[in-house]
Amino acid sequence: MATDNKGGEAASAKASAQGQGLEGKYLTFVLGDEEYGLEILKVREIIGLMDITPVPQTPVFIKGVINLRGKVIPVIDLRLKFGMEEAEPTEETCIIVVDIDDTLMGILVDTVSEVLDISHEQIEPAPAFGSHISTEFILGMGKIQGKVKMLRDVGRVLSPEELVHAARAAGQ
Amino acid sequence: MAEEFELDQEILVEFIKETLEELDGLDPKFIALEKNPKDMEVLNAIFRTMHSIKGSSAFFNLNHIRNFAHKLEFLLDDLRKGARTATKDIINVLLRGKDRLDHMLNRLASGDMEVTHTPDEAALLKQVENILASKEEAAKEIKPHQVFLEIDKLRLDLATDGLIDKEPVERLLEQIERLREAVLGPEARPSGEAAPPLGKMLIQQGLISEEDVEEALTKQKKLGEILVEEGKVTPEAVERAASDQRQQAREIAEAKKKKEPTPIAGLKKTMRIEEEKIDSFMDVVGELIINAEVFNYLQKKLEGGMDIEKSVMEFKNANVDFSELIFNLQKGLAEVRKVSIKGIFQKLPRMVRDLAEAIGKKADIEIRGEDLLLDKSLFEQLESPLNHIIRNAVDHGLEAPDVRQAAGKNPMGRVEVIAEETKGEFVIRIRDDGKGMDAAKLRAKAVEKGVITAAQADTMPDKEAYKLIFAPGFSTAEKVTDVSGRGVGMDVVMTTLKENKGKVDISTTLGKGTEFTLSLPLSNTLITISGLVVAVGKEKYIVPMEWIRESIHPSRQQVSSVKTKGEIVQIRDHIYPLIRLHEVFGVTPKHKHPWNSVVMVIDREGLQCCLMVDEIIEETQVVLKDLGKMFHHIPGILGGAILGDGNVGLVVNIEGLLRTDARSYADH
Repeated sequence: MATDNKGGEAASAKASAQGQGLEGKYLTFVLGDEEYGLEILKVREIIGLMDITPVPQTPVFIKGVINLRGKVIPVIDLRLKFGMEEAEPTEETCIIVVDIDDTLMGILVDTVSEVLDISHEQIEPAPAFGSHISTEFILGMGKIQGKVKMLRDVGRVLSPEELVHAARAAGQ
Repeated sequence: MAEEFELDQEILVEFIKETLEELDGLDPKFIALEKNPKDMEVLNAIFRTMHSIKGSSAFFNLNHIRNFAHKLEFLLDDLRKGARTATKDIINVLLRGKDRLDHMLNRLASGDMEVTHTPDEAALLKQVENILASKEEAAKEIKPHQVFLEIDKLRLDLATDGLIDKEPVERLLEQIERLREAVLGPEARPSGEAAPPLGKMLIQQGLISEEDVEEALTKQKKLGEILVEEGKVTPEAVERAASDQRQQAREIAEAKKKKEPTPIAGLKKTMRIEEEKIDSFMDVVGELIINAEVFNYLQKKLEGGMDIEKSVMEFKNANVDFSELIFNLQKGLAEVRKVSIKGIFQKLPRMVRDLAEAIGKKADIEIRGEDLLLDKSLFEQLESPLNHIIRNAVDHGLEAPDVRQAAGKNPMGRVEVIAEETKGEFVIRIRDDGKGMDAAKLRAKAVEKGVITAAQADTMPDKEAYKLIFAPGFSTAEKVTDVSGRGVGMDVVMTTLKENKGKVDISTTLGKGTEFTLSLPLSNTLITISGLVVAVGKEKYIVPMEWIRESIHPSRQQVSSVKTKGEIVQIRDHIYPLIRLHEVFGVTPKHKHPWNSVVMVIDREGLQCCLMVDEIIEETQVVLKDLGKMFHHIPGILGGAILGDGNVGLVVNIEGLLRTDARSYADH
């Protein structure tokens, strides 16, 4: 099973240019005014906001670490990671615990909305924005009931390897 | 059908794993044999391994492996019988043969079911054949029964192989049997031999000739013909079945061709665990179930509101039991994860031997502590740095034999590898008796290479200068060799150790040798830390108790500022540099001045300072938790721990904190 999964990931990355192979179940969440989708297979659980212990000498988007039933996992503020402004926590702020490449981490989002089954026809390739907006991490746009949702390749944004790299760079 | 395949696969996986393990164990034996070619015990052990590889690979129809092992077995058998001596050349061939076998198995594991030899393998096979054909000290004296024993063994092989045309061989064997009877007497007939076929017996008894038998055999009819004659089936049905048969044979052959290599499933990382260890877990789990019952009972009692005081007492007891059981479980699991370091160490003699030979040096290796156990993940990480340091020791540390002799040393260089476990640390020492390291030379070289500046070099203590060899892009070899000297590699040592919170120390004496000490915290095992929970601003940190000599509220007079050294604190007649933890960790403190706060006096292992925090909250015992790779680079943080309130507290790494400045050049 595990190997199947990996193959699927690789395939989805490859197919992203054509918007193929992206259909499936997505957990959608909100950051600011935008809605994002996250592959449901990567989601472990959703927990409410809890005390986050900040860790020194790390990039700002690494909020710190939390105690997830005895396991210490890092929490990433996705707003800061995407270059948005930090938000005051509200009742709806929550942490999505994801498992990416066998690393558990929490991602802090404004609110989670729903689980969507996005079919192949509903996905259009990412449009070319102005050069100031990076479309690197956008898998495609899902048109669901007239509303457009951006499907971010969150697995790539949060690749543990890249995060370790970023964390190191900040520490020096 | 599918299940049958599954089973095959399982056995094959088991075979690959076991054989790879066995091959790993051969290297030190070959080296031992080279040192003492008459050691029958070692020789027999190698022979047995090779023999069993031959046998099992034949079972799986892995003809390339079988063939190879078979030839090596011949060679080993020659050695065993004393027909040949284990010279360096022969050992070289055997070692390379072993490597090829290893390679073939790995090919197999990656799904390559091709059972042919690569050109390399074919060449080596040829070499073995040539050796076998050359009659070194060929049997000086012929002992007939020895010869026949040999023949019997060959016969058994022939019987199992079934690869060659049997007929002439059988005739040859017949002649041999006649010879045996003539030489050794009729009772010498080998036991367990199958009776010859009927035709053959009749020929032997002179009743018929061979031609008669052959003629009779051609008269034998095919199964289909007989069945048709007897009216059991129609000729058409037989023809249809026969054509189906041909078609199926074609399909099978094609399917075989098409089959693309996919790695064999099931070759995931596994560990062997003694049954006893698992059983002890069952015991603990059993007790936990009882424990759960006690909690159930107490819950009911508490719900009833009876005997509250007594129930609380009972609850406390049950809770203590529970904690203890969980602790045992965790400790047991850490224990189970441990593997013997032998897996790494047994590869070292071969490596040293090959390397020394490649660069024209003589080297001997001594290994101690190979039975020590180490957590599996650490074990895997340790291999590469260890190899690099040993290669470095042989390549750069040991002098050439003539140089050694001129210096009055044994031309045979010596490398010692010693593993030890001290309190909470796993230590490996690598000691060579080579030329030692020259700090001045290293400094000059590092400046030349731009690794450090001249100013840095001036102030760098010798002990730190030795570590320059770990800096990326630094190499002391005057010429680049195959093995080391490209300046890549040694920095792997530093990187790996840092990732595992380990460290390396070097001590060296010019002309005498060098000792590297690698130490790694046993981090994956359960480490409990007793420490003080301190508050700095809104944050809480845990400072390990072992580093704290005392904690004081300094007076204003004790604190002063020195231009070059920053702030200092004077305690009695000692002067300590002041480190403000809030500055290091970038948090806003409650108190700005040391005389309003608490300073913890740290004075151990040559590291001294006063660490300033807002206040000390409590003493605590915590289990150290790894924060994950994202945080491994932070020198001042040892890890995390779950505090009483359920939040994560960061454990301060005093040593990392204090050494950061002095070490910063090693990072770049």
